[in-house]
Amino acid sequence: MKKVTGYIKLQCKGGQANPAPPIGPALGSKGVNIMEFCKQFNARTKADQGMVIPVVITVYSDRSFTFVTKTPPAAVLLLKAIKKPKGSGVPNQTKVGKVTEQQIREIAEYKFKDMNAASIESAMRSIAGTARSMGIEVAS
Amino acid sequence: MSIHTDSEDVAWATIRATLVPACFSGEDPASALDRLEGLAAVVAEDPRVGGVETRDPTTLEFACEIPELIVYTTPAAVADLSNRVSELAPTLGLQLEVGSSVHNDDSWRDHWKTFYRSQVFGDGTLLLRPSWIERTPSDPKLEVVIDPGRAFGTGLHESTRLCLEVLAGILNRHYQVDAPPLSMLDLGCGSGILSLAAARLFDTLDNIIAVDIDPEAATTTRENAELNGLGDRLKAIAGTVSDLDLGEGFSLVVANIRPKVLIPDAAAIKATVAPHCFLVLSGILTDEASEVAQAYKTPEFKLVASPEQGDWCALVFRRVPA
Repeated sequence: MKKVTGYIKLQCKGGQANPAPPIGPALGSKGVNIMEFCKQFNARTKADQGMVIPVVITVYSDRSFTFVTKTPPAAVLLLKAIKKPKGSGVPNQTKVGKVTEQQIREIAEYKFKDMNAASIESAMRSIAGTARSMGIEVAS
Repeated sequence: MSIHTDSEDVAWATIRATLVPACFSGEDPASALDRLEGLAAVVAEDPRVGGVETRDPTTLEFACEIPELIVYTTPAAVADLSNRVSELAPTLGLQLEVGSSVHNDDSWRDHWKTFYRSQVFGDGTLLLRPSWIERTPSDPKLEVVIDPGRAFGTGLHESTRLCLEVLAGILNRHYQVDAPPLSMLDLGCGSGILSLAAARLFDTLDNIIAVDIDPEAATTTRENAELNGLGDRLKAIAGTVSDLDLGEGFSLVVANIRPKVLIPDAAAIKATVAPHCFLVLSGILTDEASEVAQAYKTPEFKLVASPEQGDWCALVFRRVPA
């Protein structure tokens, strides 16, 4: 069993990882074989060309690696739900949009496998909290 | 795919955005981290950004208690993007300290090489090494030199390792072999690693056809064949088994591809194998093995082994005359 040395958490565009700067240093400085990662990542994300994809790379003691792609952050899914490019700068005073409980549930179900939540209900509470911090109202 | 070494490409820049401790320790830390990653996703959409890294207590080398983002970009874009990060942060309920740096070093390019090791397959039968690592007296006599590069196939992935072990196993008579192979078809050749390993293992092989859908892989295979002095025994072609007329009667066929190709092309692949000879299929996850085996198993094609490594497995068939 190889020992896990640590993780690299990266968000980059599907199908477009490139071993040159600016992305190369993110991996190269940690001893990961940049070209090998780019080949595998681009092959696996070919269908999502150009879409920002969160990826978590597990790096082992010999600097070999495996990686998994993750669902987008809830904050991004909430912005998509309200069709706004950003949230509110003063979330307590200015609201930028509203999401329904059903939309919160859909996001929670979509993200559940990547979340550290015991149930869909607790995942929904976490996502509703994220929404409020961004000035997005949650309709009950 | 190549790493540019032009001097104008050397400089790169990072923007470091660290959560203000009060912002992280208050309310729900998971929500603050998600919103920080949300900011990363929005910033990563900018064409001037190569990628955005999140660092936290679990991450490699630069682990930090208070999560932070590192935006990788170019020196020309760093000021503009720093402003954008600062402006976006409060709209996601985040308080951040934002700083930036321009870097001129390129030590990151080759840092991974210091961790790279030669590999030995088939109980000491075959050495696989990159050109920057010298041979040692205890290394196996048979070797293939491959520098990890543009095409798949460095010997690090389980699917390639499984094939290399099977090839060495055929040489070492771990399988019932009537005669050493005279010809080989390597489907999905990538860097050419399996063709070159087979050429090294079997002196009898003088007609090796290496095929890959990616023309760059065919070029890389040719280069690697020259590097190993095996260019005259191997021909690399870009294409697929179904659109090329590859002929039949190969005494060794190896296909390290995924099941989405292996299954629909089963008939075409099986047609290339000579009687009494081996067909090695790899690139298969263990939970996909039975479906692939089903597509190949007939009275004429007998499954003789299905070695596994990690989540991956290979299927070794032998064609027996009906």
